[in-house]
Amino acid sequence: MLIRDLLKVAALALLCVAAGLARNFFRAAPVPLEYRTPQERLIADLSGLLDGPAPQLTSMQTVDLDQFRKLRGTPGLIVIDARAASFYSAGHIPGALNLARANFGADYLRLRPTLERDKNAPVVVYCSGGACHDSRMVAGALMELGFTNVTVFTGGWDAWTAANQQIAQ
Amino acid sequence: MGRMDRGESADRSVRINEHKSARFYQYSEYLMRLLIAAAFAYAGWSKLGDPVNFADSIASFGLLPRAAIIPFALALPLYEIVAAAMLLADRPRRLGALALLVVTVVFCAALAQALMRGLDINCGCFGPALTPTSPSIDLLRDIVIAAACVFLYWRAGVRTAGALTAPQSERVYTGASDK
Repeated sequence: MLIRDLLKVAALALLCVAAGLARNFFRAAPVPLEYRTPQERLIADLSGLLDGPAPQLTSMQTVDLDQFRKLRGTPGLIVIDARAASFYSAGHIPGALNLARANFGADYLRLRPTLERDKNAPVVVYCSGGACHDSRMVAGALMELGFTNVTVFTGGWDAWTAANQQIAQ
Repeated sequence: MGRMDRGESADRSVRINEHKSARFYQYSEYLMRLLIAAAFAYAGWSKLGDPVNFADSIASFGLLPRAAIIPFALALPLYEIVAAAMLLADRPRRLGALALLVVTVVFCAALAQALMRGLDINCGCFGPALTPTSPSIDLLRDIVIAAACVFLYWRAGVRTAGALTAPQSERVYTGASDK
């Protein structure tokens, strides 16, 4: 009987679903059950670079406001604003690119063509300044991605605006 | 001489011809089972180790809801391998043929709708290793496979299990032929 055979095939299919899920569960690296597109996986991987404690400031190159101002003439310099997009659009250092810590994966993919043109180019990362860790975390992630010349402008946005410097929006 | 003899030799030649056609069906059936089982076993095996890549292929067809994609990607290779094994075995071969027919029809439908929608898909049928063919070629191939599975399903239902040498057309002729 065809119907009966089809039911048996359906049973086989369900069995295979169960077996497949079980196999996955016991794998060394189980595939997450929620499907993610390749783009989403890449973003997740990139954002995963920010997991773990922020690298210590002492282990990084830092610049203060005066040093940063001198650096700004350097050809090929890339300035990164690690704050969230809303802060960036409210006002940022002229010429800075927004690579938010909170949206690292997606932002990095967006900026990738520009950033990866030269991974040895000087990069300065800032955030609000003061107690903000975002600049350090983004800088750390960039170094893990192979950027060789990454510096943190510790004073950040606070220092920049306090000195009545020019801003862009 | 006469009608009786002509009847007997006619019976014998009918029996021989039936035997020949039965053998033809048997040989083609065995060959088909082997080829199709090998194809599906290989297909399942090549997908077994890389569910993520296969899941990407499935997603490119735009048919399954997101939540179903990974479970489907995990289940299908196993299903293909088990059904292929069933096809090669004796008793389960009818169910194996039907199982493969079902999955091939599903593939055909998916490929057809992808062609109609002009989707840029990656069939992923034989795993990530093989170079991709066009969806129309995949569809043609799957239609042929589906036809073969129909044939195998029918054949497995027509006769009970029997070795190649078992007398096939063992029919009783009552003397004169009933032409």
